[in-house]
Formats: sequence, C-alpha cells, structure tokens
Amino acid sequence: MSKKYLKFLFKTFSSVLVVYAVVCAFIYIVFPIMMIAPEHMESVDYVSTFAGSVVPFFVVGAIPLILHNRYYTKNSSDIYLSLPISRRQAFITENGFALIGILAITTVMYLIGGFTTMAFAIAARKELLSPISDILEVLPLLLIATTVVYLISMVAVSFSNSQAEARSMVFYLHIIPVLLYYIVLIVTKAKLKSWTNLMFYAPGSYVSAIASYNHYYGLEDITKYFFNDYGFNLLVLAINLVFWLAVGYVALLQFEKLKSEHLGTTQMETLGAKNFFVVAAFLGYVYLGLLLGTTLDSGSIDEILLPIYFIVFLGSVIVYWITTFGMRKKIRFLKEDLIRFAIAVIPSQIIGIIIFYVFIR
Amino acid sequence: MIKIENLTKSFDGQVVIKDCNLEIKDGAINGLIGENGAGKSTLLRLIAGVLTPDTGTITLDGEVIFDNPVQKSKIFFLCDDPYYGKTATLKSLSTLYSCFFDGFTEEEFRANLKRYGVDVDKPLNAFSKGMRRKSYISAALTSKAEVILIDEAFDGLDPYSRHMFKKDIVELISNNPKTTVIIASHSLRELEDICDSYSLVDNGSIDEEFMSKRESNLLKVRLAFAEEKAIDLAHLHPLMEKHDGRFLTVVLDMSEEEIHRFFDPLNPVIMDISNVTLEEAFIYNKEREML
Repeated sequence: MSKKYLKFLFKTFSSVLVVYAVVCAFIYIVFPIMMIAPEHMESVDYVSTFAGSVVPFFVVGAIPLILHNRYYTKNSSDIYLSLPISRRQAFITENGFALIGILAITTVMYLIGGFTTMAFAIAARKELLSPISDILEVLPLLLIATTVVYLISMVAVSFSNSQAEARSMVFYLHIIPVLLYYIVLIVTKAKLKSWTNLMFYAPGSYVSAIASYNHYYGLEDITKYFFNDYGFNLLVLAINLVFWLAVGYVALLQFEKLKSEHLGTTQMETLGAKNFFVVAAFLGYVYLGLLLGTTLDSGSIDEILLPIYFIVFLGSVIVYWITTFGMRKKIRFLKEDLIRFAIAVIPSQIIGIIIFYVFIR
Repeated sequence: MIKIENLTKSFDGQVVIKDCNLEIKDGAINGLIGENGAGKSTLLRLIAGVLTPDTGTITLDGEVIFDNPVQKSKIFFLCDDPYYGKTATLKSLSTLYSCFFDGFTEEEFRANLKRYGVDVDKPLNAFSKGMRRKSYISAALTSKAEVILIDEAFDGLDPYSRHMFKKDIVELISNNPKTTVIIASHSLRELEDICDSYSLVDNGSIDEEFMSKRESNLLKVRLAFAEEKAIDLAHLHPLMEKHDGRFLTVVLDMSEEEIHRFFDPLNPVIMDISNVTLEEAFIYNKEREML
C-alpha cells in the first residue's frame, strides 16, 4: 500500500465510508430497536432479520464504482495515472482502503446493533430469538459475503473502460443473479426443499454469496440449519471468496495494463462487458440446469420449466441489450448477441445437471 | 535528462509516434510544436507515464518512468484540460498534490493563486477556462517537480497572465538549474520568448533540431530598390515572395552568403536579412513539405 495515496484517499473518500456507516447504523442498530420497541412485539430475530439485509450489500457493491470513477475519462485519468504511484500500488491501496473500511464498519455496527438489541430486549423483557452465540457466529459469514460483494463490483469496474460500462456491469452482476435466484428459489422451494441450500454451490456466482447467506438466515428455519449447515455455508462463501479473489487478481493485472487511450469508450473487448455479461448469464443459467435436473429426475417435464427458461433467457438478453445501449448510445439488436447467450445455455445446463446428480440428488 | 529511445505508440493500429528518439537536457525549456493531431499531447502523456509505449523507452536520469513511482515523483504533468471531478475545489486540488509532492504546500499554492488573481474560495467548476488554467499553473509552479510537462500552456490565459507565466518559468529554471520544462503549445510566439530548444512533432516523428535548422537555413530578406523591378526568383524556390512596388520581401532556404551573391548585383538600396520567427519557420517548413 502507498502511504501517500492512503492519505489522499482518507482525505477525499472518507465521506463514502461515512455514508456506508450511516446505512449500517440504520440497518443494524436503529431498525432492530425500532422493530422491538412496540409493546406488541414480543420477540425479535436479530440475525435472520437484519444481518441478512441486502441494503448494506448494495451500498458495498456501489463503492468501487465511486472510487474508480476518476479513471474513466481521459482528462481525469491523465491526472491520476501521472501521479507518483505504481498502478499496482494504486489498485491495492484503493481497494484495500475501501475493503478494510467497509469490513471495520460492518463489524462495529453489526456488533453494536446485536448487543444493543439484545440489551434492549432483555430490559424490555422481550424474547431474543438469536442468542449471543448466533450473533457472533454469523459475523464471519457476514464479512465474507460483504467481501465477495465488494470483489464482484471491484472486478466489474476494473474491467470497464467507461462509467456507463462499469455501471452496466455492476447492475448486471448484482441484479440479474438475484432475480434468477428468487425465480428458481420460489419454484424449487415448493418442489424440493432439501436441496435449495446446496444449489448455490456453483463457484463464481454472485448469488451463491449473498443468497446462501440470505437463504440460510432469512428464508429457512434457523434452528434446522444453523448447527447442521454452518460449516457448509462457510464453505460455500469461502469458495466464492477464493474464486473472486482470483478474478480480482486478474482485474489487478488488467488495471496494470490499462490503456488510457481507450478510457471513456466502451471496450467490448475479450475482457470487457460483452463477455462478462455472458459469463454472468452462464453462472445464472447453471441454476436453470439444476432445475432441469429435478425435472429429469422426476421423469416428467414440468410445465413451469419452459416458461421459466423462456423468461430467464430472454430476460437476460433484453437486460444485456438495454445495458449495452447505455454504453453504445444506440440501439443495436445483434443476432450475434442472441447466439452468444444461446451458446452459454448449453454448457451451463450440462454443469447444472451434473451438480444436481453429483451433489444434490 | 529525459531520454526517449526508439519510441513507438499507436492507437487502434494507427501509428502516432513512430520510432522516435529525443534527448532533453536538465535545465532546458523545450517547446513541443506541431500541427493539431501531430502527437504532442501523446508524447507528453507518454513521458508522464500515463500511456504505455508500444515499443521503446522513456527514461529520466537513466531510469524508466512508466509505472516507476520514484521517477514519477519528479514529474508534474498538466494536461490540456484537467478534470478533477464535479465537486473539486482548490482545496481538494491542494490535498491531492500535497499528498504526492513533498515540496507542495498549501500556503505557497494559495500565494501563487493570489498572484494570478484566482479567487481561492470558489469551486473549480465555477471558474472560466482561463481561471482554471491559472489554478493548474499555480499547482505546477508549487509542485517543485524536477520536470514540468504542460500541454497547451497558454490556452485561455490573458496577455498579462501569459507574461507572468513566462516570467515564472524562466525564474524557476534560474533558481533550480536542474528543473526541466516541456511545453506543448500552438502559441509559437509565446514559446519563442522562453524556450531554449524546440522539438517538432510531425507525422509521428520528432525533429529535435528543428530550431537550429531553421536558424541556419530559413532567412527572411527585405529589399528596397531605387525603382520598381521585375525579378524572377523562381529558380531560388522562395517559400514566401511579396512584391510591393519598389519593395520585395522574400523567405529563402539558403545561406546569407548565397543571398548576397544573388541580390548584390541588383543594387538594392536597402537589404535586410533576418531569421524567420518560430511561427514563420513552422509555417514555411510545412509549406516546403507540401511542395
């Protein structure tokens, strides 16, 4: 890390972390107390209700975009790339500053919130469904999930050449998998409850970080999964962490080779948004493959499967076109784009079916 | 000393700088001149370490500049239209540079801003182009960098500020003989006042002896004759020829001796031979190329 750059970041970008701290304070401290304050509220489940909130995740996802913004225009990058700091130092210092700040704030706010809520519940003679051990045990998962969310955005902005491209990639990587997750979850929950937890195994999927976390604490019976599946959830998140750290390293190499002359334009190169979208879609389609696996296993084609396929596939292509329109500033419905997504479907279905038969069935 | 060796840079297959070599000695004020799109800004951005060379090296005191924080800490780059963000203020500008340049102090920066008549309490985006330029120049002067690279140095500056800026640069070099300034500009008359060397960037190549060549070859001859004469100059290939009654002004690419040999037998009443200005040299050089 560069001390000089760190000093500059502290002086200039602390406000971004302050905003995150305020959001965390509301989610982890203010809201829980507000929730249990009314007399009719007899109990509160701090861990599942607040630690699983996606709001701080979305703020974390936006921070790399704000930090990296100055590298997207020629006139701005001319200043920052000419500063006496190596690109590697700049990348590590910038993201280190943000990530350490985010994790420190998350830890402090979450613990203050947990213990304050607990103290408040005890004082008000209300039942606290998350014991102190749960609150502490959840913290590592929360921190890893937060790190993964940050890394995903960091990777997206590092592979982008323009603000529009970065925004599109961050949007795509954060929103689409969540939508896919909820579609698949809603369908599969009714059909096969037991494996919904396992379907987030696919490494590289954004959804496996946030959703396994949410699923575990927010959508399932905590007493059923907490003790049995803690290690598994930690493993899923750890796999994601390793995967995104590896991709983050590639992003560092990409930043070191950053061609300033391409800034402000949409690169649409091999490591650009175009293929990133397809990779994200591919990871999302893996879940459809799992769904296909259940259908194959049951021996009959589920009538709901085809509409889901249609909605998810067409939906991701349409979002791709909309986001690329934001970058290109013109409407281009390319046949190649449709083909590219179609190609992503085939291997993803095979992988999805393999995961289903090997790990789930 | 800045040394550029076999430097090539292309953008999307189009070569902008082609196998260039250039040496700029410590203490020099080098004027980088050339047409629009010739590659002046690209060259400055390459020296500043913003752009990656395709091939070749750029060194400062023998060490590569690109991605080298030690060498880059000696360089202050002022691009043609710097953008510090919508909410940037002079305070944030000062914060940025004071973090990276040890010699940069807010007090000195404020003093320089005041000298240039910049309102220190206004946000940067409320400034006119000229005011912004004055702010950046104040930052450059405060940086105490060994190498100062300025693109479009005089752009937007009023005549008095141009005068102050030139004076400040000359003073900077006098007080710090190791400091090197490279200025890219189309204001050749202004460059002529302060530069001691020039580099012509043209068609991807750098002609570092442009100035010395112009001094030795291109000469402007003003002649007055007792009576109007028809003189055929075609075989001399004049770069400029203007007849006005008894008066003749001509720019020739030949030595003073040769000029005398041709014109003396025509008995001019007055014959004045002078060097062409940098701007004239630039124009005639271009015209010569076009012929």
